[in-house]
Amino acid sequence: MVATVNVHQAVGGSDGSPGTYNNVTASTRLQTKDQFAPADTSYPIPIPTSGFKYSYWIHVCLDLSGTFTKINNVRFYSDGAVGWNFGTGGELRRGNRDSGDHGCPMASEYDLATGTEADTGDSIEDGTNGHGYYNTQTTPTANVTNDTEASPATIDSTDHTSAEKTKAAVIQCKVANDAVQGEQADETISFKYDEI
Amino acid sequence: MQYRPLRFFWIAELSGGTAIAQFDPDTGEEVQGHPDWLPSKTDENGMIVKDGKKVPYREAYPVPQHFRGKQIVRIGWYPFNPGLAKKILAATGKLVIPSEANPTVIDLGNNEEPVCYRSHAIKLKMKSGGIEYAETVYVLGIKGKPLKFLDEDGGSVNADIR
Repeated sequence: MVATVNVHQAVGGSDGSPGTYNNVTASTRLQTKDQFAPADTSYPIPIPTSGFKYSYWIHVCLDLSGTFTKINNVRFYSDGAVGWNFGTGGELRRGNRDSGDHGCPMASEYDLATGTEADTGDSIEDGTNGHGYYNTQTTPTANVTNDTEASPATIDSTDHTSAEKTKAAVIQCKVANDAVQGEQADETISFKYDEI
Repeated sequence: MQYRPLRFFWIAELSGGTAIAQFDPDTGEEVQGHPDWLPSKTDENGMIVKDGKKVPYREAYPVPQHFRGKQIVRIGWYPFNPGLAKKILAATGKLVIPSEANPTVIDLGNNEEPVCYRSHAIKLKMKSGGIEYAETVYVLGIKGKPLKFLDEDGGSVNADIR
């Protein structure tokens, strides 16, 4: 039968142990705080005077339930053009592995998002405070605009045969000093998976 | 509904003239034909890895009586008729959508392995648009050969957009 598949965002907890999985039904927001509060505009990403500011990274995965035989080949992509004004060198980025699945195995590699609330998140790439599953990779992040439907990022190639969560896409905003202030346009990110 | 209703279901015709369908035509119950029933899923010693352990293939995935010793000779995606859709809703609580779309069927030769699955997409509109369960693509073919990608009306989908 067709499985019930929801999009979940994890927040809180500790490294290797996500706190809460939130079912994303209406929207989500990249903020300068580790929280799931899509309506809260209190934690925008400030435009830096120099260098870059970051959102806290977020872990977004699929929650699989219901009756199904097998789900695998979870992919992640955008429409190839994220219309947010990040400024020069800014981007919507995804945690990237040099080989294998790009998704983060939540039960073992979840890394609590850190930073300075209301100011900046730590970069995924940061050697000390970055995301431990990605920050030692040769290319620790990838621009989400390069993940397209024709060339998606493989997040999870595992065969899932029972109710559980897939590996997570870890995404983050990077904002430069010439970004344009204000609430940005709606953008769509997509997951695709195969089901038998 | 937190799923996109099915438009097609599979029927596999077996050597010997019998067939197995994804949904029992009498009851609407689902028959979960499992790809690990296929002999090609075992290694040279007839073993398979399940739950991290190597176990005999037949122990890991017992093959139902009606499938034993049979080869799939034809497989396809078929549209639901209203009667079967009603039975499936009663038996499983899940909605499927009947249509008059044409079935898509392929023949298989000796030792050819079928490829038959659905590709689903979920779109997350980050600001306010919510979740969209996008159109399902139905995939059919023979392992190692070009596959067919079908939209929900049974038409062909560009293989790059799947």
